[in-house]
Amino acid sequence: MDRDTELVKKAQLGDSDAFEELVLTYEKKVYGMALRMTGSADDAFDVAQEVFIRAYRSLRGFKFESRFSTWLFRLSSNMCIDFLRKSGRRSEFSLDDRGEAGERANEIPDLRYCPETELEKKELAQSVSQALLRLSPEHRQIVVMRDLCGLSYGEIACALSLEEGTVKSRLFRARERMRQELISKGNFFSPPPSKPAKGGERA
Amino acid sequence: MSFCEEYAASISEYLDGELPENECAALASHLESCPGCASLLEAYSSMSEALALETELPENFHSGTMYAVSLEKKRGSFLGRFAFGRWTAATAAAAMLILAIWGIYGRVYPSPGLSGPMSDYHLDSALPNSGSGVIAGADAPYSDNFAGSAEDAGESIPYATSRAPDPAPDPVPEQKNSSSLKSMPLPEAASPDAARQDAAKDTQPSGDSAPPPAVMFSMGQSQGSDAEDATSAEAGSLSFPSYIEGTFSSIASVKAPAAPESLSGYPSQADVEGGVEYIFVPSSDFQQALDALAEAGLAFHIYSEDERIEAGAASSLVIIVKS
Repeated sequence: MDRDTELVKKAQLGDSDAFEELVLTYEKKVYGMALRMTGSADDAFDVAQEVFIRAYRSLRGFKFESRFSTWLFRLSSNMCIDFLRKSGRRSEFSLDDRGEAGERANEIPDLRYCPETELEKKELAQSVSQALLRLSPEHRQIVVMRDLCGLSYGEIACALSLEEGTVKSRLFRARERMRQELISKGNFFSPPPSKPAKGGERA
Repeated sequence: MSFCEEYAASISEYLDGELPENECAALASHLESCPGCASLLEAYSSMSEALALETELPENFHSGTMYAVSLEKKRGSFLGRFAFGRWTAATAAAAMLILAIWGIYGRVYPSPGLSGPMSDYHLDSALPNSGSGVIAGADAPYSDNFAGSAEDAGESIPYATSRAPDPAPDPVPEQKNSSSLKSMPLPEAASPDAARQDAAKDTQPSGDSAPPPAVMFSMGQSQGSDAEDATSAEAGSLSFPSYIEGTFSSIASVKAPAAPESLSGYPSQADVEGGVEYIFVPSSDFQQALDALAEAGLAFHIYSEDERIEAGAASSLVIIVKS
């Protein structure tokens, strides 16, 4: 029995220390997810806190059909999406936005941009967070589940009730969209051609 | 330099370690010969790394969460036997420390009855609100019918909890302050003693000037920190009628159809038009009052940073927003 399972079982029997340990284990990730999804520290605080309250309430119904972490991230993610929906803050792109492939530019980030200093890393991280916020909530959600929560495609599929193939393609489209956002904001820029030109080149 | 479209999706999978093994070798050798695709992998990888960076947890997040959970237990909705755990003592101790630190800055109000499970909540609330003067609406946008996953049919959280200092300050804090209490004229140099007497007794409307707006809560829009969102980012604002004078050691608001019975014994002032009632609670009873609100399943919000909040004031204010 892994640690989480042990803790959940104890918490289900009323062990408050066990529940607190679960909170300690996941609070950074849950808060981080809420922060990435909402883009606001205030909102993230509230949503993340609500996630744990809701988890506490629902824990008894947890049947160990998935890992606890997957269950918790699914709960978090749903609550974030719900928050975004209720607060009316949708991004400008929707998931059904057509023509993604058509408009996909082939330019790629300049490797020379690879951040060296802490400051540069911070700047890039900030730009990436901003770019993320310009994705649709569904794209945002899948990227966060993968990159922040570290869930596998299978786990994401389970958490979001999607086919694994959908996870794969949605994640790819989300990354592409995010990369284009970064390019359009000048965070990544096209390098001069370093090999014979191909279609889609912009530099 | 460009990448090859036919490989792009595989590169994303490859990064995640999800590309089927039999395709890995082919992609790996392609990546060696194609700088464009190698760059794409690099780009995805740096985005991925940036997103994996851990964010700092606001310092009162944990204690606030555990306190909220303990309230949940009190409500008996789940696990009636759930005993108070170590967090009660631990966070009370941590909160004491926070109180001491904030006390240095003179921003905190004293916590009457600093013991028991209420204390850490109260102390958390004493931290400056991240909204910096903005009174967040008692009706937070997600407070009702906040549907989570299928496992948890939406039951709304019966209380609002305090927030952490904002780790990433909003780029336009002035905007948020613009309609906060700071814009309301306050009586000059009212001594705390006078203030509390005024607050408790002399609460008749002056009636000579245009009535200032009662408490105004703008609902629905949440606070956002997107730069482009800033103009519509106000969560709510509040200003007091002129007859609400003096300072308070704590201010809380609660959305309720009527003043709860637990507060019926205290002096109050109703603003019928604004649908608001002000209840003046001795600071020593404030914790008890909050507890009663939580027990009654009423959502309340504590305002932690405002000019009207003064450490040591004998009176506290509970604002009932009639729903």
